[in-house]
Amino acid sequence: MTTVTTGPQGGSHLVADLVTRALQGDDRAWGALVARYAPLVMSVCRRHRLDEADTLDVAQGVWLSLLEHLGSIREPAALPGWIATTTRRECLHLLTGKGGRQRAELVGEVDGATIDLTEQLDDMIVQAERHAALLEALADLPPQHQQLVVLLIHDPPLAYAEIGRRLDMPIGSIGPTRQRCLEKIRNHPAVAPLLESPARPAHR
Amino acid sequence: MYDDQWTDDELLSELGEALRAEREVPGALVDAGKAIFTWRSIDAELTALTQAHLTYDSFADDAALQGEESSLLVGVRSEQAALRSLTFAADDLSIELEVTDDGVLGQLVPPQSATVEVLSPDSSRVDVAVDEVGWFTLRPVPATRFRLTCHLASGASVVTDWISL
Repeated sequence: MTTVTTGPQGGSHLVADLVTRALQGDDRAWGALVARYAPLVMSVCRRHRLDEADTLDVAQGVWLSLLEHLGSIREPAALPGWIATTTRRECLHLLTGKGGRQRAELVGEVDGATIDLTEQLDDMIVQAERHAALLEALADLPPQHQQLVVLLIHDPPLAYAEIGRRLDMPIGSIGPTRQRCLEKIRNHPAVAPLLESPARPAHR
Repeated sequence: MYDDQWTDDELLSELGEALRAEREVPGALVDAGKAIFTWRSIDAELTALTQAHLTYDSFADDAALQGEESSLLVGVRSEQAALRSLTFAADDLSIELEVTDDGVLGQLVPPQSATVEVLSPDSSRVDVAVDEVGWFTLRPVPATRFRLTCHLASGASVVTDWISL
């Protein structure tokens, strides 16, 4: 199980640790970085309406750049922004069918549509970080509690009787356990800083 | 409703979205990313070689002619010319490529025999036959991006930028 250091930056400590270990040649740490940022790469590609083959191509370019720049990452908190910008650049590169020489830059584009896209990019980064923090907290719960949370958010929703049957758990203990799990997730060092900041998710 | 806390339902719904976003990522996207880690050792080897950079791309010119801003913002692929040609140049060697439907035709300039290798992100390396006047063919067109290395009779070695066709 992953160890996370407590601190105001939350998940950044985990990321800093993964970067350091990847630089030392730890392929599992590299794999964890890839898995952490894959949803962000996906959401930027989706925003550019790429099909699956093009998405894979773009992702490959992003991972290669990440590997190349791993040693020069000074501030892990800036990594999601870097990933999103690099993904966007690879998307534009692919869409314009160009070689590696000319690349569209975020800076300098003044078109209204582009500014809109940049704002969306910021939203995607914030959302991806929130998701990564929640998944990190979930992964730190004991396996049976992880299963309970997954069943609690099952779509379509499951009755407590069904959840109790699947987990071999008395119905009466589901409510209190749910409460304890959510408290642990709230207090997790990766999640707690998000709750203290004003960047609360828009309620849908 | 709290001001500085998610309610239990909000928290669960965010967790649900996080899991859903994670599930929607194709396994191949993560697997390819993991496989790229082996590229580190090749990369270290390549930094010692002479770099050949892209100096000409017929598609780049087309895109410029057709107004790249509009095509890039709407997210539509620009009209593509039937044949794409690319040139990668280092001080003493150029590599000219022409992309056809079923392969990539290559020419070393000045013409000379050499050993050419196709390097892929998953670290696979494939040798390509080069004739005595520097012609070679990649068949089929590589599906993923790749780099070419040329080991010349002079002992010099040249490596191209990443090529994505």
